[in-house]
Amino acid sequence: MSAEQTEREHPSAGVLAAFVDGTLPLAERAAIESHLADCDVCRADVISAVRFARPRVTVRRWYLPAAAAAAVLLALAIGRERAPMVTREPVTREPVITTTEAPVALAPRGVVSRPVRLVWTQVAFADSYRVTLFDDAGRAIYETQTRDTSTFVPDSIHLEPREGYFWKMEAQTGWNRWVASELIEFSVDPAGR
Amino acid sequence: MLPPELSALFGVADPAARDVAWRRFVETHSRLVLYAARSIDRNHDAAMDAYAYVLEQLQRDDFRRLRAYAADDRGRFSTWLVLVARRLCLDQVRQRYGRRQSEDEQSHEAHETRRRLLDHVAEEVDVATIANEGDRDAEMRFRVEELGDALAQALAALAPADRLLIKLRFQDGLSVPEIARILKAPTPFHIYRRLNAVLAQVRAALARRGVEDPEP
Ligand SMILES: [Zn+2]
Repeated sequence: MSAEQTEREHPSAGVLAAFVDGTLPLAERAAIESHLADCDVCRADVISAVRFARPRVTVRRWYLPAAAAAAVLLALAIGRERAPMVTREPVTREPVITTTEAPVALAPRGVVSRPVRLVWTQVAFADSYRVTLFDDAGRAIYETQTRDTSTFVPDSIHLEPREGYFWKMEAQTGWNRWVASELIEFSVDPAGR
Repeated sequence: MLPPELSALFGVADPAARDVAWRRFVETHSRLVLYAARSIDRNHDAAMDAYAYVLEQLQRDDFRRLRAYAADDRGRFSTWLVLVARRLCLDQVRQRYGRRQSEDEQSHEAHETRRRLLDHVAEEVDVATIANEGDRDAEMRFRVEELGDALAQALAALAPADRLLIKLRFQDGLSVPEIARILKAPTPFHIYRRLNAVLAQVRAALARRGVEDPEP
């Protein structure tokens, strides 16, 4: 096993980093997974990097008391417009401040017929959307990136009737910043063509 | 778009300003570099040596390595830096202890982890039961020394993605949520399901061998 490893070339740090961060295209991920299956050195690298990174919270929600929320809003306004200090009435309800709204996966949900069209809500300031389709075992089987808010699953991706599939989409809102939708389950109606 | 501490480093020609930028870079990332150094060698002195070595290498040739990231930034900088720092630490270990010794150690370690993997998988697929089932039909039975071979072959025959799953779980001892994070599975539950399916596959391969092919 170790003899094989020394003969083979390890993927670059850039490629492994993209693998860890989930920015590597699906087609390239498979090749890296194959390498990792038999390379103890790179596997240890990836494990270390993942453990350092920890999961990122993609959608941040702050539930603040009204007065504090008003103060934050004020600070934000001042930061942006360099406005002079003004006093404001505190907000009466407790507002939810979200830095970025998460996209909502609209369709498909439940049992659908072919062709399968994936539709989601638009996210402000998002310049690209990434859609990932998973099979029943959680393996990513299709991934695409688009500026649109819908896309068709191509015919080359064979969706078995009655099998469960999952999909989610992520909106890119900045450099290496993505907000993800929830994971939605669906299956394909065997009767509906 | 580069992290600010990195663009600051590349942007200045003045040596004094560059020194300041470098110090800021080190401040920002020393925790990360130390983490990488400790992940290679837990010994405090060795880790501190490796830490210094990594910083020296990053600074070398006008930040050649850091500029390489700037040219091809496909992941986050911190992730990339952990990987590069680990590779530098390994280089240093190799330089220090020489190729031969470290290779011997590595092959010993590889042997140990392989044995551990086989033990865990054997336990997981309940090899004893499979052997008894074989016994009932014929006098075929796994001998202890055959078992390791049979398991190793069953694992080698798996699809690489499935073998990766087994190794992450039983060789590297990762938790299922950790594996889900690495393999970008939608939920840990999906990893449990995949693991069960792959273990069933290994079990079936062993049973087939036990019943039909007692002599390797
Ligand atoms: Zn490798």
